[in-house]
Amino acid sequence: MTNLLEVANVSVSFKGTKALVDVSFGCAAGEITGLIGPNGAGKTTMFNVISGLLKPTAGSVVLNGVDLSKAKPARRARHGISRTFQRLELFTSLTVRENLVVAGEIRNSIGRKDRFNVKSEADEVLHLLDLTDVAEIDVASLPTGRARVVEVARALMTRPKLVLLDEPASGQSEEETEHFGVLLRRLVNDRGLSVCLVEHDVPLVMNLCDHIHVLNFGSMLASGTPMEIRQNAAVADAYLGSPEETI
Amino acid sequence: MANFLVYLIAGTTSGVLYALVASGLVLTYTTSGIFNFAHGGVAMLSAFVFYQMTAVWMWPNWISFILVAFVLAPLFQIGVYRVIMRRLTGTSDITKIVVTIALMLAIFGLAAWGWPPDTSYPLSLFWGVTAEWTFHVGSHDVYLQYFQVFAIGVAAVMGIGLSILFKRTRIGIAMRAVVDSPDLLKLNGGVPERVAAISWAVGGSMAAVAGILIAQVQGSVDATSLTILLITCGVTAAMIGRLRSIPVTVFGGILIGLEIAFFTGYASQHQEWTSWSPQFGVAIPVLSLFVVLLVLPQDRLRGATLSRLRERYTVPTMKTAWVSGLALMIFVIGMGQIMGISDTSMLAAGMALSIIALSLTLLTGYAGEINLAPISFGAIGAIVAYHHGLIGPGFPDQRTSLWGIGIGIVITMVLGGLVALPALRLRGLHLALGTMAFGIFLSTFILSFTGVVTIPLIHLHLAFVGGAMTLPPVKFLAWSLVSPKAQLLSSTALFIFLGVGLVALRRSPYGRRLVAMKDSPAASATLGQSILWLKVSAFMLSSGLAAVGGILYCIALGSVQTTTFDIFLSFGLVMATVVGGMGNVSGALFGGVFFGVGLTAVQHTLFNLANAHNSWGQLFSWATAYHLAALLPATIGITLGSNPSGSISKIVEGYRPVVEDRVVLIGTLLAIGVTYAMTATHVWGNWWFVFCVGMIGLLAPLAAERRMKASTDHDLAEPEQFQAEMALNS
Repeated sequence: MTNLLEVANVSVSFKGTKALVDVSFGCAAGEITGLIGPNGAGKTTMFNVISGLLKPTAGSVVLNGVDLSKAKPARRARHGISRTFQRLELFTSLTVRENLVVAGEIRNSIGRKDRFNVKSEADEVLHLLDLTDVAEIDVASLPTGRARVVEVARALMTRPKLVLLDEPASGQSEEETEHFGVLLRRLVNDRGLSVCLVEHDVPLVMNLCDHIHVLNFGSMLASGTPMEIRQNAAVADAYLGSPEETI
Repeated sequence: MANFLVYLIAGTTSGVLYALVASGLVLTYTTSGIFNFAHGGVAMLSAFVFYQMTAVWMWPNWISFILVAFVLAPLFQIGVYRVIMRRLTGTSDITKIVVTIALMLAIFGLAAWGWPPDTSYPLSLFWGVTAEWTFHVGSHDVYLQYFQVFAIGVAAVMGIGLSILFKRTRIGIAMRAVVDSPDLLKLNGGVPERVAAISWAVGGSMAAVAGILIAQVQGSVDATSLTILLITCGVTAAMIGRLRSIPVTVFGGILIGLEIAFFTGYASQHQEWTSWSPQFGVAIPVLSLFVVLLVLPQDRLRGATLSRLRERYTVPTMKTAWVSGLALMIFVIGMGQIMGISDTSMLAAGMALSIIALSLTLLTGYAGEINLAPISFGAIGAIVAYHHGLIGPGFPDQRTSLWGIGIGIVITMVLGGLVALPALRLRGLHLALGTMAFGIFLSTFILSFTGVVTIPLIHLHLAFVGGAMTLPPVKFLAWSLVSPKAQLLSSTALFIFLGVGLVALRRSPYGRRLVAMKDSPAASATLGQSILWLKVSAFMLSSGLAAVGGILYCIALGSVQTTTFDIFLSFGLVMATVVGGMGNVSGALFGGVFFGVGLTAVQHTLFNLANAHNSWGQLFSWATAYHLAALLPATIGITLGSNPSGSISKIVEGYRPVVEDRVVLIGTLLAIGVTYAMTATHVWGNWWFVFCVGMIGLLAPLAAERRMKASTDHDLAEPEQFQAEMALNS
């Protein structure tokens, strides 16, 4: 089976500090892939490389067989990569609905043959993510937890093949997180979406992901199914703590 | 060879002085995050104070020099930082830019007050021109002035002092720390504000030294030319250092000094270049700045820093937009009935400026970019229309055709796109600097050719024939809009049409994209938006708006000269618009009318009074009032830090109780109606009308508040509101 996303030998350094060192991993189509690791491991840096916001010193990013290593963020988005941000990047002058609508409009522009009705799509996504009640509210006035859901909703508006979710559960309550997990699984199963998830909520990651990659100090520490990761001694040492403690 | 050495020495001397200005600019920018456009103004003011001490009060040179450069200038800068700049935390780049521009305009006003620009203020070199050493190179003599050695020496000592300060002292280490992370410095017990204040003081010294010495090289203190030279050279050198590295900035300064010296020097030996070479001092740094903008690598996409900013705009509905437009039209028609011809012309010019200001509503308010030379883009439109769009026999039957306006708009849009493209790849500040450079280049270089310049291939004519230009009235279909009243009404109608159009644009998919890009370029790009082209399209559209306004402005003024497009006028318009609120169409209306009419009206009245009553010996007090009026907008601009969203929204907030309280609303309208009737029937003059409407405008919200307070317990309106209204009514 070939992966939808293939990241190969990516290295990034900031003024001598090595943020990522020769990291390779993949995200399979129709799966939820977890990317975990302690703070500063390079997870968000990796997302920035995949979405094109950061130029790596070396390495390649291939989506669906298309080499996007040199592509700008906008072109990567048109090929089907969408993302959310750990530090919220919502369009704060707009309402929740407008945030979704503008995303759909950008997606529908120039050279698209498979256009969709932005208004009804926005209504559907708002309904799907339980945002209908806040649709007309200024996005700037939402609490962080709901704002993160709006980021996810906006990312879905481009009908992506792959969504990169950067800590979508932080700021959400336990029930909200649980609900979010169920929803994400449904999106993957019903819409054929593929997800790459960066998250610190270990139970969520363990329950949800089909595959997990663990980053530590910019290097890939381990890869495998949740079960394999749980039993990996190096991972336990670096991040999860001893298995008995966390799970 | 001998010439080469002469140019080398002269170029190095000016170069180190430019380097000094630029280093001060970089120093304050890195430590406080504020790019100080007033930096050149501080240098200019220092030169004037130095002139006053040495030439008027006859103080010794060295005492005056030390006093100005190392006591007064630093104190002034510390004051500026403490009172104004410190409050700008959490505002957008644009507010920061505009506040420092307001400060520069204020410094200009002060300088023009103390040292009226119609007199010359000669300043000779330290030790005089002939105090020099002579060297023999081959058969030629090469002279090295004491002054040149002194200038290079002072700059070197200051540079070395700065690097010792940075590397060896506690405060220097703190300065470097504040550049990297002010928050971290705070956590470790440092005081970022104190560090910034000290760097502002040091920067002030550097500006003062450079200002005094460059004025000596120029032979006299001239506010405009000195400031423009310092701004262009300083900014370009600072950009060569990428606003970060002081050593590279110093290199950049010297490079520019040498470029100017060699170009001017060799050009003066060729007959055909001699008429241009005086302008090289400005043209060369400006062109260098464009080259720097072209070669700088693209920045990383910025995240949503704006989300935490204090600025907020509400978008009116289409209905509100149309109703406001209708109200404006009724108001202007009413005013047109009672105003004299010159006042009508002035208001028509103000309305045209408001259309130019609309270009800022689109570019700055919606797309989050800034153009510091909107009037210069308007000038391009007017000049193109003048050369390519006139119909009919000569004066006074000549007309500007719609075709001429159209081609003016198109050319301006294309040129705007070309000028902005390199800067748009970078950050907002770079576009500000790029457009400023363009404005300076246009007014000091292109428009200084009094012959016709034809751009090949497209046969486009530019420049002022004979140094002035008279753009005739517009011929619209069968009508010629000749009378000032016709011009006023057509400009107002066009403003309303374009303003409502902008509100519609803001509510359209395109407008949403602009706002999304302004809020978070990074998120916009990862959704598939091509950021650069969206910015370019917004800049081109806004240039087109500026061209429309520029053409109408020139027609309303009648005859225009190079000074009509002075960069400082653009600064004033930008400032007034930002004060009005750049996110709303009403802010553009305020900006244009306030800048074009409010200020000019007050000044004209005072000026005429001063002339009429010259014999009474009252000239001084009128002149004082005149200068105070000139300082007014700058003062308002400086206070932007406390109200960054502009004053219009606050004023509207203040009038909400009036609209809601039917009794007060009807009473207010009646009172205005009576005042209008009295004026229309010539019971009293126009100034009484303005005064009475102003008073009614002030009292109405108070009355409404009072009635509201009687029924419910409601907060009193904030005091700033009334200050803003006072400003509007004056």
